[in-house]
Amino acid sequence: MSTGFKCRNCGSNEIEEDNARGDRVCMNCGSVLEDSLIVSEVQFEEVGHGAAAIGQFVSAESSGGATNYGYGKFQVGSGTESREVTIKKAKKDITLLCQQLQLSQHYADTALNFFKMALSRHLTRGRKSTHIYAACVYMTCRTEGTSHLLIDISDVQQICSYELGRTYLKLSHALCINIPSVDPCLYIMRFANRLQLGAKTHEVSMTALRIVQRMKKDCMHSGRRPTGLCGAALLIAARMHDFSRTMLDVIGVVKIHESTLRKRLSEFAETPSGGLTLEEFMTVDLEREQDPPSFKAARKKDRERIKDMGEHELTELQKEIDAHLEKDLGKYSNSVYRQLTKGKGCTPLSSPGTPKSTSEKDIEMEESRQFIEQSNAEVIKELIAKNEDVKKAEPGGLVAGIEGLRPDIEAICRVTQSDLEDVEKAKQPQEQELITDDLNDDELDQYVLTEDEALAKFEMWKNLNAEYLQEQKEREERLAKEREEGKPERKKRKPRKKVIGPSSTAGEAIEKMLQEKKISSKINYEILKTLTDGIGGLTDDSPTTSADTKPSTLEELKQQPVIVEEGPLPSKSRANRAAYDLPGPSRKRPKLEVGLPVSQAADVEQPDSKPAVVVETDDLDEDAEAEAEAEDPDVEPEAEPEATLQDMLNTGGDDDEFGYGFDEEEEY
Amino acid sequence: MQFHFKVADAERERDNVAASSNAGANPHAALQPQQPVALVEPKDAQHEIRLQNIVATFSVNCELDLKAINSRTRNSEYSPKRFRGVIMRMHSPRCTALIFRTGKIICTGARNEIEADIGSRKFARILQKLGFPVKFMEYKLQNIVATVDLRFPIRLENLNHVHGQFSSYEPEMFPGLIYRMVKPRIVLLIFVNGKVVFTGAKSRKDIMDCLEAISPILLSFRKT
Repeated sequence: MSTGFKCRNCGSNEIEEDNARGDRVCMNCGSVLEDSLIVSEVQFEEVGHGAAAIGQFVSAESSGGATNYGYGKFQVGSGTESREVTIKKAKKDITLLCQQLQLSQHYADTALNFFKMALSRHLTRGRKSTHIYAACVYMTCRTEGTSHLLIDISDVQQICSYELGRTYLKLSHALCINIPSVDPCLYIMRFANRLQLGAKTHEVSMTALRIVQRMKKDCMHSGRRPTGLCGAALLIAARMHDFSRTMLDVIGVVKIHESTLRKRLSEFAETPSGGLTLEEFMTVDLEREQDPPSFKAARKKDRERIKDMGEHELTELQKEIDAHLEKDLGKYSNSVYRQLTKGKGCTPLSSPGTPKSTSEKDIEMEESRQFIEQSNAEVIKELIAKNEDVKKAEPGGLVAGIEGLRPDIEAICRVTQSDLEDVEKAKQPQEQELITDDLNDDELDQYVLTEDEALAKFEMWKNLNAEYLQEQKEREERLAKEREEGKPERKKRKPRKKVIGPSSTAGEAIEKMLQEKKISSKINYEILKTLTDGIGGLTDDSPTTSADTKPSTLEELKQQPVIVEEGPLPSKSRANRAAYDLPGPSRKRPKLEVGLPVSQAADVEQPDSKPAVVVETDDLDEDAEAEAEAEDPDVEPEAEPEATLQDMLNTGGDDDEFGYGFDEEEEY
Repeated sequence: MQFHFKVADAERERDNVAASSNAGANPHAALQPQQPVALVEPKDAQHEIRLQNIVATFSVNCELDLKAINSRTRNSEYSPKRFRGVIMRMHSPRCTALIFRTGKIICTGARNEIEADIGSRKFARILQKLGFPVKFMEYKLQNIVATVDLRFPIRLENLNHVHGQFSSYEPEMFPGLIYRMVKPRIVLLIFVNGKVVFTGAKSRKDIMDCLEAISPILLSFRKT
């Protein structure tokens, strides 16, 4: 109890608190108000030639705790946090991977930083650690612009390169890192070195680089693996410099298939640059850029498709043309009709002569007015469009060199009318009856088999799926048996932890566990049940007579064997058990059950309240005696062995009932 | 040739008027191989969207006996070890249905919404003929796959750079750029030759909106 600011003895407010001694003293009368206060200050110990603080140094980011259990795998000793261990492990693996790829320590550090970022965002969960390390290293390679490919890393680590790519993509998206696209030019040097070109390696690389740049301009590199282009370029360059490198050589270095290489070569040959001679190619750079080969192929296919179409298609087109022409005429005639009707206005067809002449003039006026309006409108539209173009060009212009519309974030967030409509539509109830009027029933009848056919098919199916049917049968039998035994159906339920109440003997505990878990099939549950029959005679009345908490049948069945144990046991311990409210309602129930008939006999008028009273009052001895009376005659033959067991366990604990019970519980 | 491609143009009327004058002459003579004019307005492409696949789900609201269904129909297959559902196929419209014990049915393979509706109802009718108390409830289109050809080449690298948070372009893995549009929530596969695949849409309107949204962007990243 804290004294606050006032002294207990003299009532003065002058209280001094000393943290070193850990006490509170009144300055007036000198009485010690509090002793052994909990203090929090840094303590020092003598270490070596100086003093060191006691305690662990913990960083601000960490959760503070360190496990002291020595995990065999980590071997870092106690006192390290699990996060630190993870990072240390990652560092080791990433450094190893970088060494295998001939990357310097700088790359390893960058990769480790990526890993730490991913770790703090919980992206490493559920993924193989090797994949994550490889993905971090690849991210580093891409951002730094080294000439390492996905395939290289997957070769070293023996991971599927598509899996690795998937992990890499997910990581880079989650970390919001915008990684630049692959440039085939980066890989030329690397492959050229492997081709054993001797002194002319540099020249050949330069030529190959030029070829690749030409390919990029002609859009051959979009959507293709950069290695394919490099391979083709190197082959051409090597040949240009009189090196007789075959396709197989190049394939071995570049790791692509021969058919791919051939295709790239033919595509390059189709471009105008491919038609130039060697000298021309080195000096001249053609201005015009080509379309990508896939686009050219698509257009060629379209053209061929058109050529194959016969007259049939053309007549259709003719019809379409005629339809459009009619529409045009119709527009014109509509306007004339409208003028005529306007011209008439309220006047009926009384005098056709004069209104017609005036209406003709009106028509002319109308038409000329319309023409002026339309032309003005067009001019205005053009101006507006120009303005828009100007607006659009500005933000695009800011981006150096790359034109193109930026994403319109505002349009994404806007709630459109159509969204609201969709919500409304979803709320409406849907049609339920099956409308089959427009369905072709005859066709559907063909799908349905006749009786004989169905039987035949069923027999065949049974033969084919014999094993599956067998499994199903066994499963059914197993479930039926369990249902008989009275176990709750162990379907896909969450495993709720069943709290087993305390038991006084080891034997009792084991039996209880068996009941809960049904471990052994060797236990003859029938015999167990007969043991309870003696008690069962008594307890059978209680469920029917008691108006109070009637347990479910499962509970009852569970209790009956349990009660067997309780019967021969001295009521003292049972009474003790009832005294404190421990978890395990099943423990109380049997008590209730047994207690009830006694209470019924004692006081018939109030059966409901009595059981509660019986259980909760301290009048345990009375209860115990009553129970002992009730059960002894029935249970005597079994009581003896259990009694002796009980005696063995109960040595020296008889004087203090409560204490015994408590001690027993505490032993757990 | 001239006629066909210019139908897609915005100025089709004028050309058709000119062409009709030649209608009398041999149409084949007028055929000239010509590079088609690229679509100027996105609206023109809307009628060229081709739906490739529609996935629809519905419920018949009663438990089904899969063994009986499999034995009594000609067009079904059921191997419970591999898959816990009956696979039923149909010729017209060409559809496949996955039928489950709970009465839920998934109908795939239809080429347009009407076909999907007819196919689903035909499957339900078959079940009705087998004697189950069938109701046609909770019919919903879950996925629509569509393609469109924009007919101009696209710079995927630049698109990837500018729209980095939506796009994912990895030529080492897949030749197309995967664009995940936020609104409407559709995934597009954009290829360098101007062909685009839409997937993940729940209605045709979603695809139209998506095309309207992406067309100006793609036009701005056009090559040449």
